[in-house]
Amino acid sequence: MSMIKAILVDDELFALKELQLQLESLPNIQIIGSFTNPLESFFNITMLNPDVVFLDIDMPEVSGIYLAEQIMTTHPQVKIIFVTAFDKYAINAFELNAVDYILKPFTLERIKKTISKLEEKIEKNINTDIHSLSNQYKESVKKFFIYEQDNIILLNIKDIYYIEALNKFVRIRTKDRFYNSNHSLNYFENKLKNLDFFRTHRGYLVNLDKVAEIMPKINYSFDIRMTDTNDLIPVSRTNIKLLKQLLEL
Amino acid sequence: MKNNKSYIIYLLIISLISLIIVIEYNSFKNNKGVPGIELKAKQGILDLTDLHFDDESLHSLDGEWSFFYNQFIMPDNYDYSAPGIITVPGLWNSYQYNKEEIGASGYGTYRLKVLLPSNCNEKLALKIPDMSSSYRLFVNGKEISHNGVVGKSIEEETPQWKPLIKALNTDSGQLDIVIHVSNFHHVKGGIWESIILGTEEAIYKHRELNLLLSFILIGVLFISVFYYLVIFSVMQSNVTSLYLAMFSFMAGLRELLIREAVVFLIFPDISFKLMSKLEYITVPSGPLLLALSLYSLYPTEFPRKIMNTIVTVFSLYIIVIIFTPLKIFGPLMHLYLILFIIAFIYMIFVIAAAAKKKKPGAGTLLFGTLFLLLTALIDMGYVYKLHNNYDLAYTFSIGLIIFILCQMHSLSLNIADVFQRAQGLAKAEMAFLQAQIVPHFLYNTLNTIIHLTRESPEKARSLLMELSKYLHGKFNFDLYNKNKLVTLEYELDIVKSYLAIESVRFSNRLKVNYQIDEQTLNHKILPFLLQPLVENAVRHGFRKNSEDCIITISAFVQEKNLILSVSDNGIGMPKNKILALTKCDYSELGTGLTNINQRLNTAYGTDLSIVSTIDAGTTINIKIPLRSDNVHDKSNIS
Repeated sequence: MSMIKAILVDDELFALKELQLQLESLPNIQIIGSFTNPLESFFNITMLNPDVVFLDIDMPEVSGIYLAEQIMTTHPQVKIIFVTAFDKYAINAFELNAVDYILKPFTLERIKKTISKLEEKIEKNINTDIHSLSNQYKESVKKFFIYEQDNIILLNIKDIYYIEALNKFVRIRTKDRFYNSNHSLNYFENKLKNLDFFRTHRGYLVNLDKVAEIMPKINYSFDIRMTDTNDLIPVSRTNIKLLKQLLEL
Repeated sequence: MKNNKSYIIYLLIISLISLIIVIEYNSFKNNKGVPGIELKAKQGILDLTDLHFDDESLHSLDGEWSFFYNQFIMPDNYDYSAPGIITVPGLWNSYQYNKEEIGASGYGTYRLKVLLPSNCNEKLALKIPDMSSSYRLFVNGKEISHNGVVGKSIEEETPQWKPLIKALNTDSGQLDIVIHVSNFHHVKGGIWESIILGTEEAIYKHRELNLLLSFILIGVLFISVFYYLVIFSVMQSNVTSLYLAMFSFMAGLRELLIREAVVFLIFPDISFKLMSKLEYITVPSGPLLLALSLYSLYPTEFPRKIMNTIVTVFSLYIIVIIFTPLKIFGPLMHLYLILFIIAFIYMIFVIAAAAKKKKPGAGTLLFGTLFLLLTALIDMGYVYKLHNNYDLAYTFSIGLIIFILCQMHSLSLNIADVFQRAQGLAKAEMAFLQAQIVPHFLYNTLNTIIHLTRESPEKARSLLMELSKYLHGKFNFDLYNKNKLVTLEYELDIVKSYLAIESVRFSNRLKVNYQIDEQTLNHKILPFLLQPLVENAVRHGFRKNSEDCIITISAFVQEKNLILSVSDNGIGMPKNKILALTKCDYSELGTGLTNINQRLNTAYGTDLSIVSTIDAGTTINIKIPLRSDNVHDKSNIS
């Protein structure tokens, strides 16, 4: 069997180096790249063409789980192994058992076991399913990956005005244009946890920083007007009180 | 959801109340169970010839009866000298004899001639209430019943209060009713309730309905005694339930003694003395036990002094009842009924104050108590003949049932509330412990140290030192005791170890500014206040991006407050979290912040203050009021 080409991603330098050292001791692994910046790693994947990516989960800007999802979208043949310091509780909570993972601090035995599983998967060409894991993983993503034809756009969360659920897809509104995504609005709500986005309505997730004003309507319900775009977003009656309190802060 | 539940309970209570009222009302109205009072006796003769007696009619023998004071006239010995006229039902206390009121004590003969309808073929019966205090009753020359032994002096008389039903032989078209009544034991004398004539069937039906009501009431009351006692046996700290058990017991006892005097079914030979004492004791024990239970429920709304006064006043009366004869304790009841009303009104205000503070169950209790007072007033009105509506005579019993139901509901809410709070407390404590040990951090640090042993054993050693210091602080279980305080210096040392570890992990991308006023270092504070804040700040700082994470920790004294502050330049805190903190809605917050806020609240009465801008950073301030003895005294915070 040929060498397995691996990329390592961890924002902690020592953790990255340690994993590198351990993996280097194995005969069938070839490390072709190590990154402390997760976004940088993503844009090198096409060029490096790895078999496997070792991903730390808890990283700034985007989590390992969100990054893994993007890698699966663009390079479905690449296998993912998560590296994490989560305890047993978190592993169960995030359903990490469904995917391959290594716990920090890592033992060589555990790494070997994971690698032999990996070889099997490469042989049988089994892809990891990240989507269900990513769908429910709550985090504060700082940049969204938007795929348009052949382009990948990194959309800054700060530039989003609101996200609107349409029939089969969602539409992300920025100052100048719309972006489409096949994910559900709930997916975006989970990814924007701990950021100031508010579900004003079943079909709308609104950036509170971009709200210009609340406008009462004749039938006792409310709209909000967004800055710049002047778009009107409906607010469901049950959410109006909480929204007002949040905007007063 | 919670609101829905309480609506359902209120709906149940209201429907139950209406059910009781409907049963009560219907059983009396539809079955014609209410004795007629249209025809009144005049000058010792009651003319019922025009009355149509069918199966179910009843008629009270009310009106003007002939009365012979100080004479027991046998029915065969008609001596019509100086017949007086007296109203039945009524008391003879104010009857004028030789231009003087005769008062309570004495004896005499009542007589009434009843002219029956000519077509009366039904078998008739009399329902004879108890009289004060003993009687002997003759109809058409024959003695048909007696209560106790009538006498001409207190020694000769044996009182007894026992309602009776007697069938009559009515061959002639009239009834000649002669009753010897004597009273030397009670402060009210005479035939105080209506004697009722009716067909045998109707009379028994009337009694059955009364018995039914009594049994329902007695059943409910004694079941509630059992319920309260069970609660008390499992929760001995809940004294309220013990008082309420006693309250219900007293109410049940009263139900046994009044109305049809069910007690005679169980103890036919119960003595008059015991029975009258028991019946009287049930009255003052009501406000007494209610006051005790309310005080245990709402100690802040119910001043201890007033509670003590109520308890003393009514206990005194109970003692008087136990140790003195009816003649002494009987008249006192008039005074006590006024006190009773005053005490009740006061307690209603207490409950209203509790209800205003949204104490659990106070609303229902208020409703129940108001209802109880209202029905008690209606009942007293009957006893004092302010109104003569027999329908309303026993409303108090219904008031009592409704009160007991409200009381049960209220107590259940109370217990549920205590239970929920205990659960919340246990949860908070658990969260506190969890917040103190973050395995994620520990594993990452170990991972870093493992690597450093290869690269720089020196660095690894110093990191292990810091980790040991940090863990010493965390595993100082002495501090998990609620009353322990630490110096700010101690807390800061653990924070410094933590930050030293993190700065190695993140390869010096962590910058920390300490702005600590030297004088603050010796102030005693709750442990684990700063650490979770600093740990949050680091996590937020690094979440942002690959820039440096800058943490500022400051401590200074401002206007007699120690201010501790932690800032970061991280992702900022979302508005909903800040709102959750101001609303004390802890479900939205992380366990760390929740916990600090709760502990600050209980120990110092202050809250965390958070200033945060998304993507620019967060500053969290802790305010600790300084007392002059704060530096030295350890036990000043409980």
